[in-house]
Amino acid sequence: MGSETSNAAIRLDNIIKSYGKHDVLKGVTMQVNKGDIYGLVGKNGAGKTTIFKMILGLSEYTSGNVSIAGSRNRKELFANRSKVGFFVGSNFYGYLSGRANLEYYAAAKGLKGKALKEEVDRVLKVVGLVDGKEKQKAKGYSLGMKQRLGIGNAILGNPDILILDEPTNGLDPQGIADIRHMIRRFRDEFGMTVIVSSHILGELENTADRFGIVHEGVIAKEITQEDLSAKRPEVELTVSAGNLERAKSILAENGIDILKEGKEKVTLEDYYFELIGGSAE
Amino acid sequence: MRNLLRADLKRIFRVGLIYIGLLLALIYISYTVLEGVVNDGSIGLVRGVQKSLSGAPIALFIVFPTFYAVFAHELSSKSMQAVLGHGITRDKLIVAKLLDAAIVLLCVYLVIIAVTLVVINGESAIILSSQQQTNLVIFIILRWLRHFGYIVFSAMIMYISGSTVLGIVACVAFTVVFRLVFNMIEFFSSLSLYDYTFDGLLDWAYTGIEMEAFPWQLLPAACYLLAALAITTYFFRRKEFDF
Repeated sequence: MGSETSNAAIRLDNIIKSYGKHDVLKGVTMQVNKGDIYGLVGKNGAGKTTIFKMILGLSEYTSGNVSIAGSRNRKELFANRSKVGFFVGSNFYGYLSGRANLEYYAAAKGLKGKALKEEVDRVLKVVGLVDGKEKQKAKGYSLGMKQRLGIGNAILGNPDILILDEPTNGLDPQGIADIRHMIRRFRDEFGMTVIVSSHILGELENTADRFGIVHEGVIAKEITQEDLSAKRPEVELTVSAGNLERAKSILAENGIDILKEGKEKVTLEDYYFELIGGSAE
Repeated sequence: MRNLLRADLKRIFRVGLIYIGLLLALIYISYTVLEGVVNDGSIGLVRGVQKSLSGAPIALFIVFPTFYAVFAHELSSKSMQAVLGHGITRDKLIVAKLLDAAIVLLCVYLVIIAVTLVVINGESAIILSSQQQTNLVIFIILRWLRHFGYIVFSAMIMYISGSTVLGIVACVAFTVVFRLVFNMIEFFSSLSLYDYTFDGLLDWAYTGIEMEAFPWQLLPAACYLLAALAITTYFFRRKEFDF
């Protein structure tokens, strides 16, 4: 328990959140370790967003305990929230440009002068709001650009922990692929711990390495990529259509049963990118 | 909090409505003051400034744009969530927003005071004693306080209701119909309730200053502001934020 806790970027212990007699969270216990990409999955209304609100202090929990970066009391919890960047939808002033919005939040975080300008430039580049896009008023942005701006706000100051609430909501395939790529980059290149939520399971499967399954206000199960692989011990063997009969006879000669046979089809995503160009990576 | 204040002021001063309001305010003041000077000379200038700053139009030109610039986008932009999530306490956020309003309003009033003093000292036909000039500046400062009060009360309504529109409606109501309502109450019931309101107390405070008495009415007026702040923070601490 001790070493587990010391490696925790975020830890929730038995969090209960009630609205009157209705319990939205019924005792959520979870731990996100430093360096994780943690996927929080569950259907709409399962409690994913409420969990984020508890972590960010935007809603008070009825009972339980939240710890960020090892905080041991509420004072430390408040202080350590400055180590968290988060994207919870488009939170910006529409009448300001994308750049001016980031400058506002960077200044609110205490950056000044040259450091502020450099940080805003860096973030705009990371999220791809460059070539004049950063000068447009945010209210005129497409949904994808708004998501990028929101994520840009989240990574200002290179926070240790990044929370992304449904960052791919409403995006086109290219937008989804870009965000997926960004999330991996945040962890691998910038060393961030990332918690990302989605109700589209396939979306997180390729991005996160640990998952918390939220169901009816509790974390029903925490699993890893390895657990998913172990759940299905069978392996797949892919051969070209011309070699199928030969492969089958070789397997049969060696007493190996074929449990399932099928024709592999190209994924819609691969087909899409093949057709229009671009990449899922 | 200082960082938030600095960033917010930079943002607020990009709202064009403030400058349009200030321009309209200066035109309105100039017209009223010129009218006073033409009719009554130096004393007409004092009365002109007082009359223009006491009217509903000036409140609309100054208070509404300030309220709009500071608060109008707060709920819709979800910037509050972003700021709170970064570890700023709710109490500090409220205080920072009200300080924003006080500073923006003060800047607008400083322009008005500067223009007034330039006109007084630049026009040789207008001769005001230093006492008259001091009283005029005190009058303007008390107007600033009154208008800041309107913003504090309107912000309270906005934060409690969670509606920017209600906040704006309250802001306009305080600036335009507040006095009218109490005048009507007095007319129909002979009750001098107005004297105990924030507005009434400030009126009496200025009368006291003119008569060289201690303006003790400022203390209960300040209590009104503190009470509004306490109520706002009480409700804001319990507020649930949505994404």
